Amino acid sequence: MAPAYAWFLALRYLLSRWVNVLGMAGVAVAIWALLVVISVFSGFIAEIREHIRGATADLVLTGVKTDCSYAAVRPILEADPDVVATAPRLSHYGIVYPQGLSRRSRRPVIHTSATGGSPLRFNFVSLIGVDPAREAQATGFTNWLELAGDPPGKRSFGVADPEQPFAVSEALFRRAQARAGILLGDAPVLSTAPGVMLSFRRMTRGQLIEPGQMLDLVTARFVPMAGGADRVPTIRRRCVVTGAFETKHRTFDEYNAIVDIELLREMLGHPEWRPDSIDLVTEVAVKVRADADLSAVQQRLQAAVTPHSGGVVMNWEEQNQVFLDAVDHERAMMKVVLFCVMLVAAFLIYATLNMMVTQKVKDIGILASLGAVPGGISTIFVLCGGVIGAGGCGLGLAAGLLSSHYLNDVNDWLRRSFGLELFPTDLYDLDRIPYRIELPWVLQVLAGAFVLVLLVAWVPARRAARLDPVKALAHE
Amino acid sequence: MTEAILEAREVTKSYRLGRREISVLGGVNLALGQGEMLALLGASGAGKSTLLHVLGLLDPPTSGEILFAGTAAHSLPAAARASLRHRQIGFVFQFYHLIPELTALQNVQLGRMMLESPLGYWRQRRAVREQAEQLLTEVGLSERLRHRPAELSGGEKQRVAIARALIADPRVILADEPTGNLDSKTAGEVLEILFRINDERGIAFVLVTHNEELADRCQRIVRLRDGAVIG
Repeated sequence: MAPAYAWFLALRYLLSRWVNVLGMAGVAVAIWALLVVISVFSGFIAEIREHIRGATADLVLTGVKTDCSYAAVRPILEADPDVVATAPRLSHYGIVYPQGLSRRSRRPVIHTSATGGSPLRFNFVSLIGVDPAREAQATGFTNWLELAGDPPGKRSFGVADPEQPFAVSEALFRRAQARAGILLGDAPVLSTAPGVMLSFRRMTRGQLIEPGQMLDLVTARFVPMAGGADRVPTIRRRCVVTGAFETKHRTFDEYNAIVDIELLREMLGHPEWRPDSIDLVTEVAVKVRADADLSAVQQRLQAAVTPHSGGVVMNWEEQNQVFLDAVDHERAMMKVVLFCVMLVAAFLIYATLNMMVTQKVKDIGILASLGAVPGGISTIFVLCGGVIGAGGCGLGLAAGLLSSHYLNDVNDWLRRSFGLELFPTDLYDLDRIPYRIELPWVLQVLAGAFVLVLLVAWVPARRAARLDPVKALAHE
Repeated sequence: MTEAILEAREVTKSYRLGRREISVLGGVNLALGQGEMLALLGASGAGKSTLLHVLGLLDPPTSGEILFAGTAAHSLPAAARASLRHRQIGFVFQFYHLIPELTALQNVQLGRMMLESPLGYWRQRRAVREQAEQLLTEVGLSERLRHRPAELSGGEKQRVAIARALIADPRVILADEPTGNLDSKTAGEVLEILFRINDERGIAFVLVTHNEELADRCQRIVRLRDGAVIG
């Protein structure tokens, strides 16, 4: 326990030197920044993970052989006792080409981040063919439709019938045909067209695509020819947008268009009616029992299915590993940068305490003559650092918690008053700035800051303790 | 002489300056009796202050012994030496050596905080405060309790230093030219206080001075020249 005089003098020295407030403020600012920025990052990561989780199946068999059939792998996958459901998927690259929009509106058809926001009249997409009934059992497909059907505070772009999301009603088709017929003039009159779903994000950016919009889906496939050469014919299907889906996983929403798997199979040369067609898949989504060990199921499925189909079974994190790692890495880098702010504050404290020891050399001699031991003398300066550190930690903690709590209010106020935004929520498709205060991180920051301040205080304190009292008394 | 309270036996003190060894004290023998008022006379550089620091256990002797009440004090561990210094030895310096951030009262109270824990001191804070006020009143500073050193005259500062030396109830006070920085009138007042304390409390004094007249008022005079006692 520090002797009474150490506490007494430490407080007196601190109170008589306002420069110490700078050190305390430095620690407070560093802690505030570490808490607020990392809380926002953690909130952002948690939200992103939640979005990714909602858009991704528990497990996905992917990278299978090019002629992989769902009928071949389904029994193997569903034989596992922990597998609840599976859903076939067929992915292929394509282009969507909205019909008539450019004449109806002078505005660009689709903005895409892939072109730096430049206007395009068509857009590259990843076409995903799904079996709606099976997809609803294996993934959050139903939820994707509900989110787009009832977006909070936004216009509904939901499909008419979530159980048959690609069904084009007569009324919808007439609306699409009327638009296309009026605008295309001599365009052929269609009797029917398959449905396609675009993401809510894609449809609402520019407010241009609505349910009932006619689109051309264009893709291409390799057709082997005699003699080893390949032919690459393009395939074009006129479709009608039946509605939107929304997973909130930005990448998924931005790049995917969902169609009926049979349509895509047909486009890729496997129409249902042809006897030699197979129920082609490029991946299979797998839903696992909630209480099952996902990793164990993954390993079992990997061992069971890949000898037949090739490919790999990935869990939802592995499917987005690069993105999740990138965000985590960004957070880690931010921690390092903000820790440097803490280091600057610590150096400031070191400098002020070192100056204090220099100014107090004579006092150290006086204390020695009164019976103080070196340990007690060093304690004075460590306590000074401790009080500065504790004060800075307390202020920084309070400011950090309050700032995090009122971050959205402050952001709104800045936007209204000055047109500034701390965190552009539109950029990340978020309604508000997410934050998550993680107690272990708060404790790490506080403990780290306090220990750091004690360490930097200890250096001048040790110098004080080593002073020769006789020389100190003679110090001018 | 009564039984010695503080004794130096064959004390030497030397410093190393580069490759040279400078001897400041060369085999000093000195005994201070209980309640004795001893004057230590000598020219500048004779080793008076060094001897005082060695006697006060602030500076260890290069060789020889320091005995306090017959017990070897120089070889005690640092904490025990500090404790002995706190409880038994008071210092009064020529330049007062008060802590500028503290009031006169706080400077005196500080003398009782050295060995106490914060809680221990808190429990007896009122008694310590009363004692400090009483000591400051005794030295004539009852009206200056809350003044900081910068607001006090030289004589007042020295009186605060004397009160601080007294608060731990020491048996010896080592005074290093206590009037060396004061005018003759103030010096006379301060000396009166020191002699009165010696007389009333029976505290032994080692009074370092250049002043023969002052030395003559002491019970014994020890003269130091070139680090050796000459009489």
